[in-house]
Amino acid sequence: MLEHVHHRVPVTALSFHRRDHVILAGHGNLLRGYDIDTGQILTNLKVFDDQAVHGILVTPDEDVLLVWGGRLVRKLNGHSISTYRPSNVYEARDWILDAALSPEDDCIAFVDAHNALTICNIRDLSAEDDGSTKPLATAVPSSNCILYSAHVTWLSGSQCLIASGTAFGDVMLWSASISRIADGSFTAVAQTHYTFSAHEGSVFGVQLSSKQQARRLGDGCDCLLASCSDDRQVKVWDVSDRFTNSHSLPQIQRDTGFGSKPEAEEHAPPCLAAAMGHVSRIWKIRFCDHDAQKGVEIMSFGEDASNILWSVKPDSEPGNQPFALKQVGVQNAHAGKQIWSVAAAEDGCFATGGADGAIAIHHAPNLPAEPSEIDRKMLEPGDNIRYYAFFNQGAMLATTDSGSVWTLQLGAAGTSSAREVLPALPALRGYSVVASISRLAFLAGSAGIVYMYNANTNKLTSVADCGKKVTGLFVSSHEKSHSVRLVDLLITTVGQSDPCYMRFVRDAISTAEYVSPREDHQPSLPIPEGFSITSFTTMEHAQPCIHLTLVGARNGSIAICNTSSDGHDGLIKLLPNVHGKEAVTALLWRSHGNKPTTLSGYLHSLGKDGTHAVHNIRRHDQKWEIELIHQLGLPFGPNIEGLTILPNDHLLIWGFRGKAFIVYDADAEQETMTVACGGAHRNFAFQPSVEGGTFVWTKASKIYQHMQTRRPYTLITPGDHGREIKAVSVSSTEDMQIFATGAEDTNIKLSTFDEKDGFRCVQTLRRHNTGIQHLCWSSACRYLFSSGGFEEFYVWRVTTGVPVLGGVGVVCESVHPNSGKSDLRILGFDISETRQKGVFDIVLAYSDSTLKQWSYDIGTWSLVSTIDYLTACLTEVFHTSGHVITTATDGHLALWDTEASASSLTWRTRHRTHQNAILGVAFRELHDRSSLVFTAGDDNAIGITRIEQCGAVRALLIPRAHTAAVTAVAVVPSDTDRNTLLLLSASIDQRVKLWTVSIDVTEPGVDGVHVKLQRNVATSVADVSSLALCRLAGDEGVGCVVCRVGMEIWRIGGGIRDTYLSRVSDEVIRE
Amino acid sequence: MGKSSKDKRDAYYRLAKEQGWRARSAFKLLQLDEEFDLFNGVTRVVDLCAAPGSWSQVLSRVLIQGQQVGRAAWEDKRYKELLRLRQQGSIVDDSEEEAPTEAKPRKDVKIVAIDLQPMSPLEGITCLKADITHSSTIPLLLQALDPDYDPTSSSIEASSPVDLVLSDGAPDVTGLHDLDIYVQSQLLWAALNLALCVLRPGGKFVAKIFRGKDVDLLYAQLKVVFQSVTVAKPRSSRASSVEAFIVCTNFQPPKGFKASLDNPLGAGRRLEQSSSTHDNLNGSPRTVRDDGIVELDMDTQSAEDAASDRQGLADRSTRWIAPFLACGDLSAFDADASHKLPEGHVSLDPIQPPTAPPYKRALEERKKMGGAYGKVKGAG
Repeated sequence: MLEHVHHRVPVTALSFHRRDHVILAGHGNLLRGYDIDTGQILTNLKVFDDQAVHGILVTPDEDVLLVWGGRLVRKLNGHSISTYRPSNVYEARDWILDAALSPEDDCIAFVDAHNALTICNIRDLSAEDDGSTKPLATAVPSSNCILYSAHVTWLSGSQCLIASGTAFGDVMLWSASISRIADGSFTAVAQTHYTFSAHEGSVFGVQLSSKQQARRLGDGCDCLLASCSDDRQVKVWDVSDRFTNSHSLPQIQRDTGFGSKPEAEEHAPPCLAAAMGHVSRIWKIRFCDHDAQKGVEIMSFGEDASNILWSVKPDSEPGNQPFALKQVGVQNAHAGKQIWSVAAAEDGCFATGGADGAIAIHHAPNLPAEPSEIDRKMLEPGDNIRYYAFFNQGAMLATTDSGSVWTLQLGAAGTSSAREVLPALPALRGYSVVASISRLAFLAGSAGIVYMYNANTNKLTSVADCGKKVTGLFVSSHEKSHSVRLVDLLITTVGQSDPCYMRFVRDAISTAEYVSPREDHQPSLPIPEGFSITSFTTMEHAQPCIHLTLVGARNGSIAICNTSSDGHDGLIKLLPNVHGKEAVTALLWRSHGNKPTTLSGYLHSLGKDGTHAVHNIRRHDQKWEIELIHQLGLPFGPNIEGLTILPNDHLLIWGFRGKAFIVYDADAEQETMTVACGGAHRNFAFQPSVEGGTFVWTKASKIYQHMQTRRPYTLITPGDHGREIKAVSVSSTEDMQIFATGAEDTNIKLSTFDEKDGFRCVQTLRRHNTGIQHLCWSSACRYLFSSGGFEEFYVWRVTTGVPVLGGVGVVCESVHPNSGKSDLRILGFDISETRQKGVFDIVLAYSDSTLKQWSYDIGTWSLVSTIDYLTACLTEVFHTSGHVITTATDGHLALWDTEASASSLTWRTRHRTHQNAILGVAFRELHDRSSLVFTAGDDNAIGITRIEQCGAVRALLIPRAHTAAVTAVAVVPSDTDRNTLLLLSASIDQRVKLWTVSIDVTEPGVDGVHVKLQRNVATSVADVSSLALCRLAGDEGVGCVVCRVGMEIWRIGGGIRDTYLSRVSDEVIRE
Repeated sequence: MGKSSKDKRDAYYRLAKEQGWRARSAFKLLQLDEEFDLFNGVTRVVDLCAAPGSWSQVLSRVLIQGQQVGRAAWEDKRYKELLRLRQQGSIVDDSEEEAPTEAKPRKDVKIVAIDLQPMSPLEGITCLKADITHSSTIPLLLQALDPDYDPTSSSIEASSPVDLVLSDGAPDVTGLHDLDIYVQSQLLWAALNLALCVLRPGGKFVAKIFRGKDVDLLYAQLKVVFQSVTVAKPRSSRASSVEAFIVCTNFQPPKGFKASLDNPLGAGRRLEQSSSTHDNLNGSPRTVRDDGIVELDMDTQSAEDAASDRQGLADRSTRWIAPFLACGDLSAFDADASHKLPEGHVSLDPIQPPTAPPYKRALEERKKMGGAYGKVKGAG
């Protein structure tokens, strides 16, 4: 009755499987195999019942996988990725931190969290699965210290070397000589080499190098140890000398009886280098092996979801450590927080797994190439390149201070070659502007003469004389057919509000030359007074023949002008302040629609307000219809500069964040290129490509170039918050089901789900400044409401079924006027739609025990009433059977009445159900008009309260419904019996339970309510906070989604499809 | 955020400063005491993981100074007033008006506080900087309780001198939930192992616990050695926190059981279950409580149509859900609510600054370089 469908939870283990070109990943209790190139799921095996996978080991012949998590170990046999089958489960005495396979035979060494060593032979592990669990014997017993990290390596077939990091900042290095005794078990003799205080905080990562890696620092170096910690430090130690013995940590403690060790007792290896990095804790550290030329390189992985590459270089500064760690690269591939898992392949490629459930495959070499300066030796002494623009792949036109014009050809390796087009033109001296499109560029200067550069002929010709200093050149073109190409040029000049508009046509015969029509055939641009142009594009529609010019202004407005040859319409529409009062930096038109006779398309615009907006523009019955369907902030900015649509149909947006130039794939929600250039406010040119592009910029009078031909990493299954999800609401429209999730990262994500590919994030709403507390769709799902801390409450208008933006456009229609005014949290709210479209009654529940009722009418708010509850924090508010009901942290349900006269709320009665906080609510109106309210209690209990229409209230309580706090409940009507409901409950005990609740409404109060537990299942989502019902494909089409640390989908069986769906369609019809 | 915004957000933070507690967690112990009368007949106490020492402060004020600290000091008057106005005519529980029992300093009080972290001294309390997992700590502890204790002659069992063992210890959570739950359970085992060595029969044990996955295994183990085991959540502990406290009373060591820190319970060693961990499910599953709520006592572990889905050996052993009790009267401040500050409120400095974190040096370095450490959105 409850069947697991899918989950996306943090990636806690990773390993490469080379033969099948697969990355193996532990997602909760599942082992998944993904095709490295396509990201397609090739295998999906349940390894453990309710334990997350924390480690994966692949044998050299790749016929056996060893998977562990917690104390459990399981062997999987198979010959290819789709044939692996798990055998019996084995159990170690303690939490396993690391495992390694011996080089000679098939022995495996495990180190656990109390520093015990367990040895077994992989062949001795049963290949069958009879459902039993077998114990693993320990070879070196545990000590009292608790470890956060360990790394075990085999020095030979009979000796292990182990590094262990404790919770208190100590590192131990010890070895064990292993021998097999007659009964087949293993014994070991342990020896401690070093015990020392390595860090000021817990040691979260330790790693021993290979001999080859250590040798790169000198012949005397046999073994290096790298460690990382809570104290934000990365350290490298020389542990080559292991002849001396140290007291073990327990021995030191035995001598003193205290945890702190006198310095004399310590035996520390030499520290070669130390450095500080990451903004929070550092979880993992690895030696990078692939390129011996680069010496010793180390990669650290942090809580800040970034990985940093360090190079160990000699440090000659007196008084310093002999080596220094130089930071050579940083990557932020994951969303939110945490990199939990790492795997390296022999070719230098490595993978990281985050709390966002994504796997990043980082390609080698990972180093961002140093920017190369463009050679200026060809210029006259004192002359310098001023303005430049791309006119072809890797080719730019550049002007210099002296007014000379050059073409520059850029090479991938940072090379460049220059060719002079014309020597110094007086008209371009000292000041010039350049604009370009494919194979054409336009130049102008302070004298007002405009030149055209044609790459076909490599000629520069004068095309216009404006007589005034040119302030801007804007160019746009249309290939109307193979031979016909239209080029529109807009020239703005000093002190003149009307721009000069010119059109050029490619010569149909020669196809190399461009000609300009006669002056009286040149279009004019009917823009309003004071409209200072900052961006420009055009669109051309064949039937009816329409040419539109779209211009953006410095004051954030956009004008849509009809510039068809008949030119009757003039200014079609002025869209005021689309980007607030900030400049519109770029415009892009995308036509859409199969019917050639109707004009329809989407206008993308970017502004210095940091947003990306999309308007749908249609011409219908000779009338223009223009609607804003999308406007959201981007994860960088506010200097957002340009956009394009790539051949793979992805929207690419670029701009600046701090001192870096950022290229962002908006469809994949991934930064594809990052260049440290010094920040915005400089001359630059960018030529995009699918894998990156070429960025050229000016910094301190020098010109630099950076060409990226491959994305630094690819992401498999991205799109999760990477932080704890606090609220979920699923839309119920037929066309497109959207899962809205709000998390601690202050973002709201809209995602779709299908059983084959899992979740896909379509939009990220970044506007809240605090963690999201509650989310709710309007019944027709055209609006999404969200609340958070600081009294934040937003109304989002959502448009589905659009052919751009992944199908979903979002506009923040209104921000509640109190947002940000106080530090109160809005934990819950109730939305009721009025008869009037777009008008809602909204009741907000605040953390200071007040309830406020508002009326919302498309952007305007009016306060209806404010009422105090007691002192407890209100957690939910909802309405059923004619009552408004609240729940609070005092465990009470309170019933509120609507006063007929003032239509405001008054407090009436309160009923204790739980001992303390009510964390979740679900309710169902019964056919006698009474209601059943199900409450999830922090007191481990589920409450079932029956509220009759007259206001009589009786409660039934299941005190030990879960082992820990019940955090969410959901209710589904059963199809087979109208007197039966299915109740789902979830708890932080990581269990989801399905109960049947049968009701005999003729019995008084709760006497006729009977509860039966149907299913009790483990979920891979830790710390569950919320549950919501959803639709699934297939006959048994009702499911539920469980959220917090990840998301999980369960299918609820039992023939409940029809009822649920009819409820959904009822609501659709009602609207 | 301003200095007083934390005062508004967290009433207990403000009260702790006003009443001179080193940390707001003092209220958790006070509220546990209200419900369980923890200090009744208690003179010898061990406070584990004691730093910064707010629980020791409570012990000092109650046992040594004989102060009446409790509800009266922090009762929220507004709540009662509002309730009175709204429920005029209905019965008001006037048991709260009962006169408090007289308190006075007790005789022969011995309190030992143990932590690996340094702790500012408190009058009348012996502070030991020691590792609670290490066997050498026990003779040190016994000596601190009885200066004439001779570690060479006295056996631990013979003395068993402690009435109450407390532990408010918690690890810095990583965010990897199963690991955090594991580490917290190890801390609980360490505290329990020590308690088993020093507690007198009939003694009490109170420790912080994370209510998470498999916490019912821990409950079941505790139930073997204590007659009564309750999981309690003080009102001063936030509802959003996994934290709760396990209150175990009437220590009854099983026959033949020998506690030892050299062979501790926890990772490998476990206590044999006895029948006492099984709840009596006889009688009617439905009981009507005095307040009218119908309680349904039912098996909530084994479902109709599923076999066990837990593979671990220990995981298949007995599980038991300890009864839950919210502590602190409902009139106490709500840790989750925002509060209006009293008029003329002056925000005070904390009694004791928080312990320096291990990344203190990293913070200083970054500050020097002009970075906004820790303010990065999504990284904090």
